[in-house]
Amino acid sequence: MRRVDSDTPRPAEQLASALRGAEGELDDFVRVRMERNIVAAWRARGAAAVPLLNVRKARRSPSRSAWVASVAVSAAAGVLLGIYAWRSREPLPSVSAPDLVAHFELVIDDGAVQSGYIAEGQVLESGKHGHIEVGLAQSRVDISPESRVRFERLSRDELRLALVTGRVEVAFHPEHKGQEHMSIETRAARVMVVGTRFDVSADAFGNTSVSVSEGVVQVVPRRGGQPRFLRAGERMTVPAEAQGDKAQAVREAIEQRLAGKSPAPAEEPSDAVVDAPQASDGLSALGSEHEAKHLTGLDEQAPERRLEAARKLLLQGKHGLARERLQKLAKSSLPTGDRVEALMLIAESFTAQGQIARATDAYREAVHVAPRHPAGHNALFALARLLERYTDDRSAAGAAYREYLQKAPSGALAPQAREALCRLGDAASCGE
Amino acid sequence: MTRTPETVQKPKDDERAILRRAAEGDEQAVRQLYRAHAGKLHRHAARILGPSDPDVEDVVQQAFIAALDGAQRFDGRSSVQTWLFGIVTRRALDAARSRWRRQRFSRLAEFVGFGGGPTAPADHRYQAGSEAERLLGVLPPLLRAVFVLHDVEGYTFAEISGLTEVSISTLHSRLLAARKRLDEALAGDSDA
Repeated sequence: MRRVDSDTPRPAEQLASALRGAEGELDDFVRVRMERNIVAAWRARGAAAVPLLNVRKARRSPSRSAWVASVAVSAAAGVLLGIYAWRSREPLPSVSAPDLVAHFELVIDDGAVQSGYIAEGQVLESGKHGHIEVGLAQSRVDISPESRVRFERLSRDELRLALVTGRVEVAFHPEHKGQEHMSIETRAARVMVVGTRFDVSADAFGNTSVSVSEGVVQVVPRRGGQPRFLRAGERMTVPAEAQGDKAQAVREAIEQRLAGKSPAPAEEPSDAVVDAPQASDGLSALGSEHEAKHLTGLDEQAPERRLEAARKLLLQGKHGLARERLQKLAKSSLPTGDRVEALMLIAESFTAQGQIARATDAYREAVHVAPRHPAGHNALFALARLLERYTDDRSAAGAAYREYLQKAPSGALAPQAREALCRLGDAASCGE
Repeated sequence: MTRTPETVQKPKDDERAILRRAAEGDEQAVRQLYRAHAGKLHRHAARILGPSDPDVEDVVQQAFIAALDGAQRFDGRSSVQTWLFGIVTRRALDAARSRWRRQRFSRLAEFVGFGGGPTAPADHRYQAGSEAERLLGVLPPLLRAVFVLHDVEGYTFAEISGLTEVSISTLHSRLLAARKRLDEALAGDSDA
């Protein structure tokens, strides 16, 4: 070994000295990002009013003899038992405060990233091209594109998520089985998690599909029916058969549309995804009856104001009056896009009331008004989707998707149209 | 070794007042607290985990939230910065341990000859821009933490023991081991 001269500082001392002198200024971008996250998390939690996730219970470190014994046993029992012993002996240091906030990271196709913390009641939407990864206490939730999830309950012993639409993949590995629970709720079912990996998807009607890749989950249909345990490799679909569910699904779809969230896809990219707080859940968030009356009383208003007034009437459930006004707008000399918009709203109003044939007519009329306009292409896609989801007429749905692709082969919705055709059995469209 | 002077520049009462206001929900105070300490805490977490480690930011953020959450437990016997250093140290070591646990199966797979290989980085891999930071990377996180707290930041063993809840004798032996490893590694570097 090399002898170190007592007059010269030892290398470790030199290193310590160099590190003491190192400024290591924090990058401004990182500094600002962390500040924003911390302030947002603290604000969302209402200054400690909301319990944080994953407060690890302080465990006493095992005694030295226990440690030695566990090592001896593991050595004797072989590699597998060794792993087990390693797992059980690992001490968690005593931590006096919570150590993890539910955190999300949104990644969009083009690499843009948004991240932040989640509070109870908050809603995350992934958007058309977005994908959200959520880190929770003992679990991880991956939210697929075009999905909407509300975080109903976030506490150390209960995680409850509501999947409004779309698909989530969940990995849940509780530290203390039986004490920590997780569930995913859709309109059709509640999926109780035991400690596993699985995914849940729900369409706009609430039809729910559960697939388990590891462990066991319990699926409880919400409209009665026997709870069923699903094991690894099993899959189950729970239809939202009840009319109430269907009506509710349609109503929510319309509300989103009216709130400007547009579940009926638009050719203009609409990826803006953000963590949307609760406001999107209620009709009341969108304006009072008084405002609607005020708006509807002024026929001389700009088209967008008149469309807005009709939307508000729809929100109040005044479908007849709203459609009457929208018909006038559709037959007026307004710009094509506004007339198509009016017809689309009429179609959605009929859909909400279960009048699918009339809704189909309204969409067809919208297509007829603007056969070569992107708005007309959107209407065609919406028609195809309506036919696919609300009727059993697969061939008509397929024809509408094909017509869309013919008119807008490079349209923003073209990939989805091809996907739909593949789903409907057109093998030529699969994998394109 | 003496403590860095800036911890005594600010009156403790001011610091405590800011911490209290922040914990009560005063956003300005939260920002003030963050801006006063973020740089040092980030650097400290980065020295324990590695500057390019993706957990560094999380550790600092979680430490701040935990500090705000547990502000009522701050007894004022140390400076706010020392207290925050303790939280960051514990969380950084938690993160390192947690990663170690997550990677144990891939390590086992690698050990028995199934896959693994270079794709799974070593738990204590440390990437750094500066030469000094790079050299620090020869230490595993536990030794790195005590070396940084004692020899770089100037905390006493008693203080570090309070921060990390590790006994003084253990800390002492870890520091000696850290210095020995660094001496050997640096001597090796200079011989090369």
